Amino acid sequence: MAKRLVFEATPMRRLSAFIIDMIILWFVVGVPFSSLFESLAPSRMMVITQESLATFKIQFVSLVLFLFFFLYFTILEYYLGQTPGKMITKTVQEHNGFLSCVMANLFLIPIFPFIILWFIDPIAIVLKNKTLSNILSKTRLLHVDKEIKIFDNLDIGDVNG
Amino acid sequence: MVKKQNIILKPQTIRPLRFTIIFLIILSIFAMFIASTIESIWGETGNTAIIPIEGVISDGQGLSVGSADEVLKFLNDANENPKVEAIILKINSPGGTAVASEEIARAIAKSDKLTVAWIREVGASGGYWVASSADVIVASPLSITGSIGVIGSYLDFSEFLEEYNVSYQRLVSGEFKDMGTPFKELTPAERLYLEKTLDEMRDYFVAEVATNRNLSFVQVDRLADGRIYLGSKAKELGLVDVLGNQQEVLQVIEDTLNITVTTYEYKRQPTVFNLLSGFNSKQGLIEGLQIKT
Repeated sequence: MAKRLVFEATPMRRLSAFIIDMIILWFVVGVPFSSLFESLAPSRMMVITQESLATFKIQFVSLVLFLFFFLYFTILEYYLGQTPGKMITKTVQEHNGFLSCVMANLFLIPIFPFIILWFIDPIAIVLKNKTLSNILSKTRLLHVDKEIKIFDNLDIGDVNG
Repeated sequence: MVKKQNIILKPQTIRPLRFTIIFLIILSIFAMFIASTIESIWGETGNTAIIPIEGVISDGQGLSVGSADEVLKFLNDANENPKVEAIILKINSPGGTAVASEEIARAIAKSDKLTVAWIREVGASGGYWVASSADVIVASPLSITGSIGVIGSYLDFSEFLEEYNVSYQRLVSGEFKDMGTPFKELTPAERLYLEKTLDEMRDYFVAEVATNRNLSFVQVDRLADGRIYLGSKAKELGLVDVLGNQQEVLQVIEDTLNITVTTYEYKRQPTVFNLLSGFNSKQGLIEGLQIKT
């Protein structure tokens, strides 16, 4: 039987995984939306006569864009426990089902009250090494370390031992 | 504190890499579909661009949108936008420098979109030069237009300096090198030369207006003694096409192109530098020789 050593992921590993995922999302989702943003929010030299409507359009499209981000994280973490960023940084999201994945990623939706998590989560990481989203959704981000092989008839006890 | 734990991970039933790639492809296609759908509904910028030309037309940056560089940028943007079918030049300018006025006028004449010059309070001198290059000119009956001609007047401080025992030390490499400096009196030869230059510029201006307005050089020449004309008089003289305001401007476009006009307007957001430099603009008290239309 093979066992793996796992740790709670460090803040640096969390951040690295997130940045890698954002880069991937830029290419997968951001590029198709960039021309849309250009047509809705043209250069600062040009102002559409109905400014309030233009602002609403940009906000709506931003919300749609973040919903794509939300789908990316939620679905990949539910089915695989990992996004590509987490695969690269060898981290795994431990969860209790689809609902916990949804709750863990609600911070991605840029509307109140979820937007508050943008400020609280980083503070929680520093203090408790997990985000408030993780705490509320009962999920954990784990760093999966090297695999070790053990024999079935040997009791190695607790690794922390 | 990082805690270590000894857990067994469930065996994977889904091959992660293949699943991830397929999922990313589907997500990307879905994103493209949603983006293009939204763009087809909301991406319209309007079929008529309004470009304001306000204040003194020059090549520099000022508070008002009279900079040739900016107007040319807006024109270029409108020309390249396939959704734009007409361009309205909203003019409220007493004129400006010859070069800047000519550059804008030339760019308007080159445009393959329908161009309508809408003269508001003032569209005189260089402002009229710009308007004349449009396909149609609409002005209010009380708009001030005309003033076809060139001016190079400046303040002569030579006697003022003499009163205060300040002398002008002339060090030049050519007889006409300091021609037009406000610190010495203009010599007869210099005056003759400058007036000849102004006449040449005026003739160029008149020829341009004649071409743009489909009038003869002689007809425009007779009108080009520098006087202003109200919009109503300008229409009689053939310098303006339609009397009216914004409604008439939109009507001209709708009748000509058989479209329903939806407009958008270009505006410049002045930077802090613009606001501060406005106090040090070229329109200062002592300008020296600066030829303007």
